[in-house]
Amino acid sequence: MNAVPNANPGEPKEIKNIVSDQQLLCARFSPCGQFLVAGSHEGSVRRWRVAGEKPAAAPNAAPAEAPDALADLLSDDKKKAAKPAKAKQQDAKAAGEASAVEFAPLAPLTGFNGWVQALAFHPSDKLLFAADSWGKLNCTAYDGESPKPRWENPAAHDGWIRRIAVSPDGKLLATCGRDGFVRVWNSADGKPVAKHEHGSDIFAVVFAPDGTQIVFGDGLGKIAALDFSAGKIAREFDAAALHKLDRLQDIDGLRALAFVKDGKTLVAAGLLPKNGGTVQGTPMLLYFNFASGKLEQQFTHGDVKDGYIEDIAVHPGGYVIGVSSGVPGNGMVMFHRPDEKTAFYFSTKIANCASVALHPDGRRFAVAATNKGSNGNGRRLSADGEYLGNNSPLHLFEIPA
Amino acid sequence: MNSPLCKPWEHAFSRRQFLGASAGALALGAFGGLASSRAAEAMRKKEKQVLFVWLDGGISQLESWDPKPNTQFGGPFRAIPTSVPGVHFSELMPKSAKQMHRLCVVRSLCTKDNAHSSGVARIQRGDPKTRGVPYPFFGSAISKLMGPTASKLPAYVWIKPGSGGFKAEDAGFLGPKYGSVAFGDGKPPDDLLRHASLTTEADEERNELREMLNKRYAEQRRRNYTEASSYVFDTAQELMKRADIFDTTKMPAKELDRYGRTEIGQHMLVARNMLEAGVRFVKVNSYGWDTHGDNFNGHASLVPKFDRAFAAIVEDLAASGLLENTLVVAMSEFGRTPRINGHVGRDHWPEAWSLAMAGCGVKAGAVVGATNEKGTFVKDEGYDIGSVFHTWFNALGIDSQRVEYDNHGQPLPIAHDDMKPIKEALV
Amino acid sequence: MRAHHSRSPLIASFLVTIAFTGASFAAAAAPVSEAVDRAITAKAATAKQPLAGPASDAEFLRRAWLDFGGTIPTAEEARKYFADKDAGKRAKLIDQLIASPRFAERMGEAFHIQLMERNGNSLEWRSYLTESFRANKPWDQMAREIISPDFKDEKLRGAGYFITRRLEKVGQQDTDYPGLTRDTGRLFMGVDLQCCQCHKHLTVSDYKQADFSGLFMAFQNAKLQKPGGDYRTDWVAEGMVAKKYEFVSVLSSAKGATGPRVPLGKEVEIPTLAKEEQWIVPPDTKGKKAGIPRFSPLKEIAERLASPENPFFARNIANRIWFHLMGRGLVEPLDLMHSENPASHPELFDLLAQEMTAHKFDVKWLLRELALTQAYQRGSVIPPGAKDPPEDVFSVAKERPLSAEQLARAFLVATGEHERVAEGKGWEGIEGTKYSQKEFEKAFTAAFANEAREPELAVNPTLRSALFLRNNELVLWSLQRRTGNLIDRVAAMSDPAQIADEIYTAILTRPPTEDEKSDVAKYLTKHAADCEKALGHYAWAMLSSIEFFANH
Repeated sequence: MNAVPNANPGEPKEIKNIVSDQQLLCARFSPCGQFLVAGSHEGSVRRWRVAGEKPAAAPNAAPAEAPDALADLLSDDKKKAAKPAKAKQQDAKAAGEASAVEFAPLAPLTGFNGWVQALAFHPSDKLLFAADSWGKLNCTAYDGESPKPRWENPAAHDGWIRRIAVSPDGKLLATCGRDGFVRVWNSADGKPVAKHEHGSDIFAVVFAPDGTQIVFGDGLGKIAALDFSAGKIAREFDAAALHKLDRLQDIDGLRALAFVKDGKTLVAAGLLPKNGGTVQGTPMLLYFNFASGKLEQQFTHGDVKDGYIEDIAVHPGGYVIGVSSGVPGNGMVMFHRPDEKTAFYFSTKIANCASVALHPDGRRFAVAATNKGSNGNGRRLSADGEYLGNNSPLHLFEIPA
Repeated sequence: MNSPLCKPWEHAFSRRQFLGASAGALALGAFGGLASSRAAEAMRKKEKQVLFVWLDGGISQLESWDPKPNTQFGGPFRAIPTSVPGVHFSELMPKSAKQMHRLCVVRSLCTKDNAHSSGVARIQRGDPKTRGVPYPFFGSAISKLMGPTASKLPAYVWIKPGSGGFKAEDAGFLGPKYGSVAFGDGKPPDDLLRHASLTTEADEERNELREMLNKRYAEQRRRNYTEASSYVFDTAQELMKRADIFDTTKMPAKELDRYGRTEIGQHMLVARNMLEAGVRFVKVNSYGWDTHGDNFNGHASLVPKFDRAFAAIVEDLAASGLLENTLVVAMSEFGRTPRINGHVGRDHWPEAWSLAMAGCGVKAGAVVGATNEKGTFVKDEGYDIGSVFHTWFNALGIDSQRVEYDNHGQPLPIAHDDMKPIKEALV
Repeated sequence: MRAHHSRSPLIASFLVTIAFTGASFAAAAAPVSEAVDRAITAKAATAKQPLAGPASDAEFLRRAWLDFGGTIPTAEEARKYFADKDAGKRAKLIDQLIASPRFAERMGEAFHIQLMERNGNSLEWRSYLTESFRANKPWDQMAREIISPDFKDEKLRGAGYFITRRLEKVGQQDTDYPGLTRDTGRLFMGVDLQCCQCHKHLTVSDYKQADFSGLFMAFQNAKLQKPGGDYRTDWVAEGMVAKKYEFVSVLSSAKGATGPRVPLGKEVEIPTLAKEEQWIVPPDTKGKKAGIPRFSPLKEIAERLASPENPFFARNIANRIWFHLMGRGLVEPLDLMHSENPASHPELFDLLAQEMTAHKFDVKWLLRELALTQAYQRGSVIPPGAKDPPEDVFSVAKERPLSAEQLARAFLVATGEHERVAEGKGWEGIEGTKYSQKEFEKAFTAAFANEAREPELAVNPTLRSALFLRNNELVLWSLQRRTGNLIDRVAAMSDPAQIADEIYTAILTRPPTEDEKSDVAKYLTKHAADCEKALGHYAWAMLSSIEFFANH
């Protein structure tokens, strides 16, 4: 990956607030940067077109071209240069504000049940892999008006699929979930490639950079690297800090896994649990040396009311963006560079964050949060006497150079 | 008398009832504090028992008894069919689903209190009309109304995490005698186990000596003290003899596995033993259900553990024939909001929630009432906890609208004056 | 709204009593103790209840020791008393016990249990009570010191615990002013006004909502403060009261207003003070320090409540002292005195109240007078021909409860471990844990004391106490042979008659009957092999029996 100007960013600025009428779980930008998707509580995937953007290199283009396209995007002057027809429409709006973008909602992808919490994009093809909490996994070309799935497996897992990972070359998928299995699939047709029965609810899964191993973590403090072709556990990581048995409840602290430092370090994000019931604990990142399995750093930020780091994004500049849910209190957006003792940026201005989507340009990210005043015992009815649900506004931030 | 004074703003008083205008209002008197000796006798003959499972904090009805999958507030989980066609539970309760043909699930509870500190006591007291005295919890009420069984074991045993001992608070105006004997962490109260220095023979012999001395002493004196003393020493003896009931280290591994090697699993197994040994009322507490944050993972961890233990005990009570005369109840102080808050949690919701019952006097395989499609409110008639108390008393053969307590001359109804038993729940 | 006529019969009877007995008192011939016995005997005759015979020497000795000394005598002391041929030895014993330093401790403890009802304990409070009894402080003075405490005085601030403890916040509950109001009425006047907070009392027509409210407002006007500055303990600061307290009946919606008022007494007029006069020490709002108002409702109430002018005050203390020695009040329940709940012996009750007043509320005096009565010295064995004698006739002595503290001390004296545990003497060469008096009292209190706010009124065997006696380490420890203790003494004896005499005198404070001697002999023969253990078991059986457990 080329060095990107934002290695030492200034404070991010909120530039847009996208209202949504539902609660959203997992938000992601497409690799081309033109689409933002988010899984919802109501069996659907919401989509927005990030208009005002020059499209990235065509699918299957040589990767070397991509950085140039990115550089093009960043340069204001080049914005007015040759653009695809769609983007030209938005010129008038885009004019005048260098960072103004429109998020035009597209028809949601439907056909799911329960929650759609697991989303992942193919690195180069315009494909979106999505899974729901009833166990369905499918693959859709995400840029059409009302796209139909290319392939679909309604019972890929028995129940809640929590995460999808895509191999670096895009050929394989990995999924994990409440049925205690990790499974590897062929991304082109959804055919099963491998599976491993771990035995307890699995919260995160990610491919190792070389594509031969998947790393997964459960709710009981165990993280392991699996050589899935051989079907053998290659290494275990001691993440006991991410679990606590409080009375009857096994508090599952793990929420996400990713690689940093050019694939040398595995980061596990979640919570250092304090108590169950209304789960409270401190946001935590555990950094492991992937080769040796050793814990390099146990980083916590904030206090026990700051809650889970629900989702992370690894910035090309080498730092981790984490968002947390806050219990009670507000959500938090946090930037942390591995090995540093403190987060070099954090803010608790928005309410209860569920997910963070990093734009491929590295200059923008979206946080799926919650409306203010989302909790409360007893009734809260609208003026018409209707029982109101909550929703997840998407906060779009810009990271200055 | 241990009675806090009523707060003026809470006070709702029914003069008519106090003056004993209702037809069945019976004479005040010393019938053991019951306004009828006949009623007392009738109740004592049948060895009915109660298992009361209290899930403290508020179990989510949407993640248990009344799932609404694939709706706005339904959450991620699926619903699964139960042993009664057309009735579904959350996928988190597969074992209890198989017991539904024995259960009676009320899905139409609608109560008033959404706070823990007041709500827990209100629910367990049946929230009667305020009379300026604290009403007894259900266990103390049964201890008073039905007394211990012929087993001589204490009438009201409470199995709970944390501290044990003799808990008088539950008894309200009935007085500490009707409080519970609590087994903290399933362990017996202090001094329950025979002292290591004593052999059984020595213990029995010295106890016989004591009885003989008491008898001689009381020959020419009032009998009540020596009788009371004999009673408690006998109860102590019974409890001491039955260490096998609560000593989980001595229980077969298979049983411990069936109930689950969790806090609630072990406690439920002790509860079963207590019931089999003849304890009249056994309460089992589980704490930590108040999932304002991370409700779904929380319940995914909690509910299956409860499910395993609960299904096991229902099965065992049915197999031993005890279920016929044992009223089983599992509930919390309220349900949880359909609305999902920003920390992925659910808040308190007394407006529409559920409880489950089984056994003595209740209809098996029945669902009482329903919530609407989204699970936000009760569809037709909502039941307050007063109606539920009426239902329980009647299930146990106690006429809840006639029997009264006698609180030092003040007749008090045993359940809310204006409510009635839930007919559809009773056999 | 408030009719006064319901009150006047009470006051009228009181005044009438003054008129009559005032005359007889002036004659001063018959002591009160004789008046008591005349009244008891008369009513027993009317009720056709034969009187029990006098208590045996042993029964009386034990009873007096427990009531006036708070423990039992050792076997040695008991034998000395039995051997004494003096005809007036009972009166002599009473006087000896009253003169002993144990008396003040015993009375302090008894009043502590009665006034705090197991809701807390404080060294300052206990010391205040003990010293007050040591100085034979008049009860009205004590009552005033408790209701309107002087928190700055080193010797008197302990008295404030009665109020401050009750005002401590418990969790999220409101400060319990109603509870404090109720307890003050119950314990100092014998009236339970609980049900008058929201409306007039529904069963006692004498008690009105204003009676509750007038006392309540004085307490509600006092705020609990943490120690600091001149104040070494928690204390209460009164606010300024300038107008009456308004109340509404939730039943009739009738409204009322009252200034501070002694229940069933007259309202105190609230002075109108000029602004500069209102505070002796004005409050410091910046430093958040409470002020001291010139008008102190607590002081006004204390002075009027604890006074000869308040008929309930004398009646309450007379009743409670009677209860103390007889096991049942002349008015029952102790906190429900009103015109429709007469005493079992109305004229006697009036006399006691009036005499108590005349003797300036001298508690020691009344205790002694009652101790000299035949009624107090009666036996607890039901006489032949009497079947279920009603308690309010007092024809038979009633068995009374021992407090946990009395039990602990009696237990240690009986087992001969008293010196070791209570005084720390004699531990040389003893193996194992060295127990202290504190540990014994703590264990016995946990096993025998009632729950907080449950008055200890009757003998009450509980499951907890049964388990304690059967299995507790401390109990069984005391019954193991150890140099100088009871088991040690009897294990060294060979004559079963002597052994029987020793264990009966030490534990039950009486000599054994012939039957009992032979029982012991038989038992010892049976257990010749392990006689030490056997003796321990026999002693245990006696210590767990009602005869030990009750004050009879």
